[in-house]
Amino acid sequence: MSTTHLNIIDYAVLLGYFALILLIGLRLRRRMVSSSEYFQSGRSLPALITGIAFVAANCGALEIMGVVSMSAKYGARANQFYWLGAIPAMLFLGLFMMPIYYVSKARSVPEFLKLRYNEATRALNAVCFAVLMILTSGISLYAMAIIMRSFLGWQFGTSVVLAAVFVFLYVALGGLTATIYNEVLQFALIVAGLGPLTWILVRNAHGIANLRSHLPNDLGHTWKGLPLVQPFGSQMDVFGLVFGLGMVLGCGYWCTDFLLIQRALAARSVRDASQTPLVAAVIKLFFPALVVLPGHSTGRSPVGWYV
Amino acid sequence: MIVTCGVSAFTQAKQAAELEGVVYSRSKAKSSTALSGLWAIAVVIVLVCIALNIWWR
Repeated sequence: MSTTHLNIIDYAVLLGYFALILLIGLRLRRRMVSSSEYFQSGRSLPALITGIAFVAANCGALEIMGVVSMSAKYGARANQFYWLGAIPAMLFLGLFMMPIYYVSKARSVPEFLKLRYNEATRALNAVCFAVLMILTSGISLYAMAIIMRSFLGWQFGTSVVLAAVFVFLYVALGGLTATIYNEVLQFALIVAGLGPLTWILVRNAHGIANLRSHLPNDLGHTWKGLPLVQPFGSQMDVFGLVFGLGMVLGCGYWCTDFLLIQRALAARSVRDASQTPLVAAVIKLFFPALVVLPGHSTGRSPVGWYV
Repeated sequence: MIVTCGVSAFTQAKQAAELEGVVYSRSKAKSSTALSGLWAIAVVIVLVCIALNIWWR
C-alpha cells in the first residue's frame, strides 16, 4: 500500500486534534477534587453522553481493523458480533444489572464484587482485569500503529509512544470525565470517517442488495447457509453463535467489563445509568453499516472495485 | 493526583463496605427506578434487531 503524503493542512488538523484533547483534560483538571469526580465524573453525566462513550470505549483501531477484516473473510456473518453478540447482553445489562451496580454506590466493578462477595473476589477480578487490559491495550496500540504506518508511513514506535503519552496526559489531568468527552469526540470522528466510505461504496455498487449479491457463496447473508449444529468442519453454526457468542461471550463481556460499566456508573441517576447501554444498543444496531459493508469490498471478495 | 485519588477511593470504599455490609439488594434497586419506560425502549430495540436480521438474513 502506498502511504499518503501529509501537507501542512493535514498536520494542522492533527495538531489541532491533539491540542483539543489536551485542552479538555486541562479544563477539567480543576474539577478533579475527589475520587468520585476522578473515577465517576461526580455521577453527573446524561445518558446520551455516557451511552456514546459506552460504545466508543469498545470502538477503536481494533474495531476498524478487526471487524472490517472479519467482514472481508466471513461476509455478512460479521453482523452477528453486533446483533447477537452485543444487543441482547446490552439490554440485559440496562434492565437488570445497571440498577444493581448503580444503587450499590460502588465506584467500579471490582469494588461492587467486594461489597457483594469479599476481598478475595475483588482482588481476583482486579488482577484478571489488569492483565486483560495490558494485553488488549497492547493489541489496540499495535493495531493503531499498523494503521498509521500503512496510511501515513509513521514509524511503529513513534505512533505507539505518541498515542500512549496523549492518552496518559488527558486521563491523568481530567479523569473519567475527560476520557468520556474524548470518547464522544473520537466516536464522532469515526462516524465522520467511515460514513462517507460506506456511502461511496453503496453508491458505486448501486445499492446494498446489489453489493451483497456479488459476494461469493452465502457471504452476503447473516444466517443463510449456517448449519444448525456442526462443531467440527464448520467455521460457525447457529448453536455456537446463539449460546457461545450471544450468551457466554456477549454477557461475559458487556455485563461485567470494568471499562464499559465505568461509563454507565458516571451517569447522573440510576435511570440514566440504565439507559446508557440502551443508547449504546441503538448505535450498535446500525454500526454494521459502517464496518461490515466496507469489509465486503475488500479481501477475497470480487467486489473490491467498488471503492 | 492519581495516588491521592486512589488512596481516597480505597479509604472510602473500605468505610462504605464496613458501614453498609453487603449492599446487594435487588428490591432496593427496583424500587428506586421506574423501569417501565426502559422496557418499552428495549422491546423496540429487539424488534428492530429482529427486522434487521430478517432483512439481512
